[in-house]
Amino acid sequence: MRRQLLALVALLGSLAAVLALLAPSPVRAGNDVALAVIVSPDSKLGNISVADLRRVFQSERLTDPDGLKLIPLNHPPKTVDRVGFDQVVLGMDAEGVGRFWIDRKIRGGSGPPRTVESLATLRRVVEKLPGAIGYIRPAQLSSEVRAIRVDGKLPEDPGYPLRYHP
Amino acid sequence: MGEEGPKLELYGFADFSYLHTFGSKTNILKQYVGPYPSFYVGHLNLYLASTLGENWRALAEVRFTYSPMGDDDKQAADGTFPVQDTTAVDYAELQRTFQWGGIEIQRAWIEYQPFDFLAIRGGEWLTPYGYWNDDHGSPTIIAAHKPFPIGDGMFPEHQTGLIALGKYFVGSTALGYALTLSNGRGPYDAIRDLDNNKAVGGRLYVESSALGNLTIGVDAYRGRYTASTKRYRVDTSGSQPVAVIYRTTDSAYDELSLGADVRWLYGGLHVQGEFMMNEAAYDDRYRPRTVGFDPRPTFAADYRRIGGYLLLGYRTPWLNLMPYVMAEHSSYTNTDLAPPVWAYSAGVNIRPTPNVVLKAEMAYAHFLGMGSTGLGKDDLPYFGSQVAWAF
Repeated sequence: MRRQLLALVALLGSLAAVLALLAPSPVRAGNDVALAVIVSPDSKLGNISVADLRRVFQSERLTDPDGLKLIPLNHPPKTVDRVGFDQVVLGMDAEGVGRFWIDRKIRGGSGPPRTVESLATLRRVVEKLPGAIGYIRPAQLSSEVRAIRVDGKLPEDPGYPLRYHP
Repeated sequence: MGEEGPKLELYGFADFSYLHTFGSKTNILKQYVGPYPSFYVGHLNLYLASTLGENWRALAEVRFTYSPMGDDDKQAADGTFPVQDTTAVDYAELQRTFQWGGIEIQRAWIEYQPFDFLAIRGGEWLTPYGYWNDDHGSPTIIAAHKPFPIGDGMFPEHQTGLIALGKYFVGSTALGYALTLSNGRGPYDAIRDLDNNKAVGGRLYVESSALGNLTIGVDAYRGRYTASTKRYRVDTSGSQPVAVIYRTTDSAYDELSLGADVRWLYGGLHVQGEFMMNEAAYDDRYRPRTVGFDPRPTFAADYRRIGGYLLLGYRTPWLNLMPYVMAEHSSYTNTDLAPPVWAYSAGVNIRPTPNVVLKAEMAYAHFLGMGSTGLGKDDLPYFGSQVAWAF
């Protein structure tokens, strides 16, 4: 019995090691759809790093230059841009994001960012709510919101990090 | 939140398990753990969370349990181990009977976060060490059973007091910390400290997302355990008798726990290990008697126990299935009842949806010696399976 168990342990260990070598890298930016990170036109926030964006959208507390707590606003789960944003910024697919938030809440951490159903509402809330931060496609920008740089780049710049394959 | 007050968020988790121990009828551990294959609901934990204001948050977690029903671990004066019977009549159902259970408060704290890098919690919280104690809930932890060194409490599972915690980010690397001040360990430390010696502890860790997600941490805890009994006497030395309340100490020791841990997540790969040490030095005035077959009076010795586990798993893209293996060790030098143990397990963890986790594992516990009561006479193979769900 014991020998069989040890053999099983060794077999599973070897299998895990082989699979680890074949593990895909986390999905990173592609070159099809860009997502502009938006804040209120009154905000002093002009640039954010992808690492800080990840913190904000994982509900870690981060303040802007005015000392306002950044309030992330997300698209509904499994929508195209939400999936792309989660892949590029959080490095997770939709299932992985679901697991992340369940595990986070069971550990006692804070819950996920609020989601906003429509683009019009998202733009309006970002404009009016101090500290609000969201993301939309560049073609969806309006005077209500302002796109900020991500890692020093705007969506039209080459090497802009928030791009994904839809 | 507004004039109507804070909103309460309710959520939780539960698990349903099946345990099948193998071995002969003379296997003491099999008889102790459960001689017959059994189904049971292990956890039904409810969380109550609320944002109380700009920088304020509160969380409480309670576990509903069937215990103390069925508790047969306490020895009666006549030497038997009677089972705890919680049967009571149901006054609402024509005096038919039911069995009541209990509620365990797992944590209850309020948090104030004045800065990005600092949050302060007051209340009862889970000791911040390693990963298992933090992961905590059955849907989150990978294996179907708690490793021996975690279950044996080399660090206290909960503490009551203050904790300061936070993270400081440098690019994709986070430096995290937790500092604790608490009642320390005691027979009922959640509500009372029985000595004038607060326990201190902390955790430091580095998290890097440069290559997957790598976390390395170190942990420490230092405190004094005291168990005492409240007594009364009458002081007649004055002009009139007065009652005097005092305590006699039954047992006391100073303890130190140290730990180190690593977790690496890369693609589907999951590597996680925790290694810990706990040593205790009894106050000679309050060294307790030990329990065993030897009728001669003996006293508990100072001890240093060590333990750890290493888990290796890989989450495949198919069915979110994770085969895993785990090796664990606990030296059990804090008691002469149990000998050191090595345990090995292999299993699968399937997460068909983020809210549901299925687990099945074979485990084999091998003891290095007999222990004073023969507990380690036989090894213990067992099969465990579990479905855990978050709601």
